[in-house]
Amino acid sequence: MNTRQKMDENKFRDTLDKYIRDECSPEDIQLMESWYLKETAKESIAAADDPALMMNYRKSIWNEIKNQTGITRNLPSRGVRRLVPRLALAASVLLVLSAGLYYYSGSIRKKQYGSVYENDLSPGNNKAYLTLADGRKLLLDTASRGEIARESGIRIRKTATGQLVYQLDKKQGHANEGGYNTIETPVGGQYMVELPDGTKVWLNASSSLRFPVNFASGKRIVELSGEGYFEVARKVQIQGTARQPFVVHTSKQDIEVLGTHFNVNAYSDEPDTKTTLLEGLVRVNRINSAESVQLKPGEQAVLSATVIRVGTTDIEAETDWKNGYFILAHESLEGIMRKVARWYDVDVEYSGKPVNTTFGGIVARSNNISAVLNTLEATGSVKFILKGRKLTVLQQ
Amino acid sequence: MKQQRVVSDEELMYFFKQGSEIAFAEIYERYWGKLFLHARKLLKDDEEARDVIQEVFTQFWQRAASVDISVALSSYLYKIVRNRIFDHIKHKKVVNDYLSSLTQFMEEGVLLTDVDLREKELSALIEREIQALPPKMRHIFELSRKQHLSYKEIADSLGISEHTVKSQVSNALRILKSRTGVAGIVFLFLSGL
Repeated sequence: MNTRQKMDENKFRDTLDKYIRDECSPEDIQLMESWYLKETAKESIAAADDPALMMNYRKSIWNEIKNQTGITRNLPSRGVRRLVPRLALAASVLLVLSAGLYYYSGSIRKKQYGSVYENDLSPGNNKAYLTLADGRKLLLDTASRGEIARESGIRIRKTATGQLVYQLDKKQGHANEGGYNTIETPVGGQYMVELPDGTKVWLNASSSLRFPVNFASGKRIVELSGEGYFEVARKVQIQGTARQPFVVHTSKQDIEVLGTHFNVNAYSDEPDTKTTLLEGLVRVNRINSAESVQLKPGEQAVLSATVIRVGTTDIEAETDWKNGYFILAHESLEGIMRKVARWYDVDVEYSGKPVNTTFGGIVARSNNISAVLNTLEATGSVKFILKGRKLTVLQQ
Repeated sequence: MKQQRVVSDEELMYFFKQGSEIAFAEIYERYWGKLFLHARKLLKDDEEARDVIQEVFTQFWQRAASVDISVALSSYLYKIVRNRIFDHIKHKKVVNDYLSSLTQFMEEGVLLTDVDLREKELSALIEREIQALPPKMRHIFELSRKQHLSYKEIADSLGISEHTVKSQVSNALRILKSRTGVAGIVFLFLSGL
């Protein structure tokens, strides 16, 4: 059959038969599937309007499937599944009550059920401010590129992929002892910078890194607030002699390394400072204290006010942000909302009794905020109201 | 503290392929409603639509071992349902309405030559079925989205240890991530790793 040929009943049944047996010509497949789409797009016949009948279908179809396949599992009875048996009675009463309410006031009830988004918010992006040694402040966004400054014998260049690279100025041939630069990401921004020694640093939202334009002899010292992922270069490119330790200074700890990959979460609104090691070896020292621990790959140091704990951790979850995800492994609602606030630039408020539960899951950071919130909402523990940049978390 | 999680389609597919009945039941919960409404629309008969859904899931279970987990669960089901619906149309005593609709389509309709585009369009149309329902009915179908499976339940249904389940999920996640790429919207849930 081709599309110009007339279709009669026999041909029609025959084409369907060939389609099912996967023997159709490509042209007939196109025709049948395109036609099928058109049928599917038509207005529905009177919509299913009897909930009891539907619930009955749900169960009876499943029973037939059980008979056909020999599986034994029953469908869960709706609504009471998550509750402990002691509460089952109360729950069924509640269920009846809410079902009743639902039937009496359908649309009002619907509003009470779901989250309310008056608007949506797009995710953060690559964006940062660079403060030069002479005090000039530059916005680094997707627009600018190429050489953006030259200081102390160092060229500061922005690549096409949006990262900042510090390179020794070939004309001058050597670098001077220079001042400090600071790169700062706003809420909803992240940025990657390659330092003069070849060390790469990814900065998460609402973070800053202060570093010398030129790493002179001795220790390479940078200062971090917020969260950063470091790939420290083992070779010292500038001064070229012995290995120079690399030190990340935060408000509560110093991390000393030679060459390695690690993540530091030192947000001031987080209860602990977390250092997670992926490769190599690092030492974490509490500021103004002799307290110190050494980490092996896969380990994490959690520095609280009183103690430094070392344990293994989920590396994927700790470096999720750098790879473009929110990966939640047993995280508290508050912890998650702090991440959301930093990436989507919202103010978070809580209402209702705090939920005593942790969440697990993965959502891409390229999503709008509604996708992230919908995922959390689907657990049934929380709902949200978003008005502008104000996000209210309704706990149940 | 209790742990709450939403199980993603990808994760369900993974366990389904291993032969987990609990994952299969959850897939049924998620999809039977949409597919039923879809089948009912094309076959214009409740009983036939019920048969189609039963056939779709039976077939899906029987072919679990050959399922490719990197293909979206929904596209598998939507293809099987289309096939089953064609089969039911073929066996209908009277096909005049379908025949005249197809004839008219051949005269005036637009062919979608691109396979991906057809798949996308089909997904969009099927997913719209529930949205088009009156609120009361929609609620009935949407209830099924809130399932809270635990690794223990899945492990029990597979007869393997909870630990094995966890490490398998984490491997599957890695594979899927490398296939989907960072830009893709991955929706996997991996609590307790």
